[in-house]
Amino acid sequence: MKNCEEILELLSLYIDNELDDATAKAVEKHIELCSSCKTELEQLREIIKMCNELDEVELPEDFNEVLHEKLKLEQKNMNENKKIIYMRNSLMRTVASVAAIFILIFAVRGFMYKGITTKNTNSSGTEIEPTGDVVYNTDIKAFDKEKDDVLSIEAADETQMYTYEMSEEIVRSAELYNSDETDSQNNSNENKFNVESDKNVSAASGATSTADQKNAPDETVMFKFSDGTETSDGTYSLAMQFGEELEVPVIGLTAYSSDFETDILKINEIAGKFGTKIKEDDTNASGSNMAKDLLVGGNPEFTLTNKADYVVSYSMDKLNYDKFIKEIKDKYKGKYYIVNNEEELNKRLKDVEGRIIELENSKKTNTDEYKSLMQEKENILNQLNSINSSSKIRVNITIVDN
Amino acid sequence: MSISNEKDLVERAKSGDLEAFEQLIIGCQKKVFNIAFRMVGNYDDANELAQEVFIKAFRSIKNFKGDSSFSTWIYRITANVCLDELRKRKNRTIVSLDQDIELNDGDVKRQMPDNAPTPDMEAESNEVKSIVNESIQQLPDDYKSMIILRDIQGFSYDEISKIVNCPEGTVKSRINRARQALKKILQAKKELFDDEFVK
Repeated sequence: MKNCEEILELLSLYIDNELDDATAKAVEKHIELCSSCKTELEQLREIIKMCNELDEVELPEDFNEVLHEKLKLEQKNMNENKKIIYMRNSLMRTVASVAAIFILIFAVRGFMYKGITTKNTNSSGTEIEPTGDVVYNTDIKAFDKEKDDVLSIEAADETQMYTYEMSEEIVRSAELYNSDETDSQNNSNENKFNVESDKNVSAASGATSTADQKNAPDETVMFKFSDGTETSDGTYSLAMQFGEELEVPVIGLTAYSSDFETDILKINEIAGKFGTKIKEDDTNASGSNMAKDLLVGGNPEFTLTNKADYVVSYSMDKLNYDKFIKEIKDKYKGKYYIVNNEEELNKRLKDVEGRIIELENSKKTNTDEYKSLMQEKENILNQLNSINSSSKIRVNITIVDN
Repeated sequence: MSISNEKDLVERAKSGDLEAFEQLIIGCQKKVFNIAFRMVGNYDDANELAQEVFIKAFRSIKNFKGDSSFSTWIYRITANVCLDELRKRKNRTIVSLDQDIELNDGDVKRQMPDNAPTPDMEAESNEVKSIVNESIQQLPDDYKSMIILRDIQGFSYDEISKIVNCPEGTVKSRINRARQALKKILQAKKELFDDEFVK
């Protein structure tokens, strides 16, 4: 025979026919004898009945019309994204690093030409005038889709960040240059600087540029961001124009590794099953070899945010890409992380912590929910720790049409 | 909708076929709307949330693996969207009810509008119904969703456990506690009203 407390726990399940026959019988037996439990059962039934009887509301008349329009817009965005499938973090890193690279190129170049100009003036007495304004745009249109405002704003912010770092560097370079001018003993330094810059210029001209090499950069700074705002720090003009290569669909995945050598082999093995390796770079470069090369002559302490210890690129079609992601997610869960996870984990952590505090405030720390939340919090923290503490392996994937 | 037909439509929707997606959701639109309506207690908000549910579903249908039926998956999104919204609202209105409002001529007690019976709710023709609804609105979010899914929408325990992504055991005890909590609220109200709507 069960006591009232136990019976009360079972009443709800009894009403819903969720008890096995024996338990249901026991409940019935108890109710026949116990009037208070019987009342309780009737009250519960009454409440359930009242809930059942609540009226359904009808959809607004234009519900489907409005939804259809929204879905059509969404579909359009999705189709556009098919060409550029990206994961936010890695994309932003790409944008930021390319931005930084171009800023570097033009900064170094800019000083190069300024140096030459001044020199020519000094030696021949003829003044070489700048032949025109050079206006450079940071053109991040390619990613400035309306549907993803945040993305483009972030792009602008990051670019700006590098800009500021750059201007500091310009000042430093300028000082170096000026000291060369006044101190002939430093001539060798200057020569070295020139040679390196030349190399960078040729690398740059291969890439993309609106700047005419013969033009001496104008002494104004104009950054045009996609939202039309302009910033000016009045020191120098920098050129940036992203070329076609950014429109190549590239997906960056970052796996975080603790056993570096083994994991490089493993990741290549997995990716090799689904795609073709295009190139790899294990030179401990910041994002790419190019970035490293271009740092010559610049500030060696200038590092890009997308530091990865190993970068490899694969091309695969969409179908195989999906399989690849699935395999990483399913089979290597907890070992390799797709970089996007970091953001998701942080978001989830915030929710979990919020709920924990809520429970603590209402002194419900003894509940199952609280325990499972604490467990989840620990899991998330472990995952985040392993992300932050291990080396990074980055896999760039180019999606190809098949 | 037959299972094979649903599978076919899901595949088409996954490749971005809007028409297929719209066919899929026809059957669950009203339920989604009504769940949202009871969760947030307001017709206009429910409309917005329901739209959000379907847009989210369309966006993420690629991730639908077919472990559950399509409609269950949609209801799961619905529950998440609604709970998120309720959480957001809580964060927006953190005001201590006990705190007095300071005015030049002395403090006054803070008065809060009763959120439950909005004009929409007055559409609940019958007074008992509006009281029941009002009481449901006062439940903690977890309990509220249990009452809505089980006692208003009539989902099975198994379906509910899939929708709220909880083990069935948890659902069982949560439904029980939710009903007890609702009973308490209703009984407190009973003392305020003469109508004997709870025996």
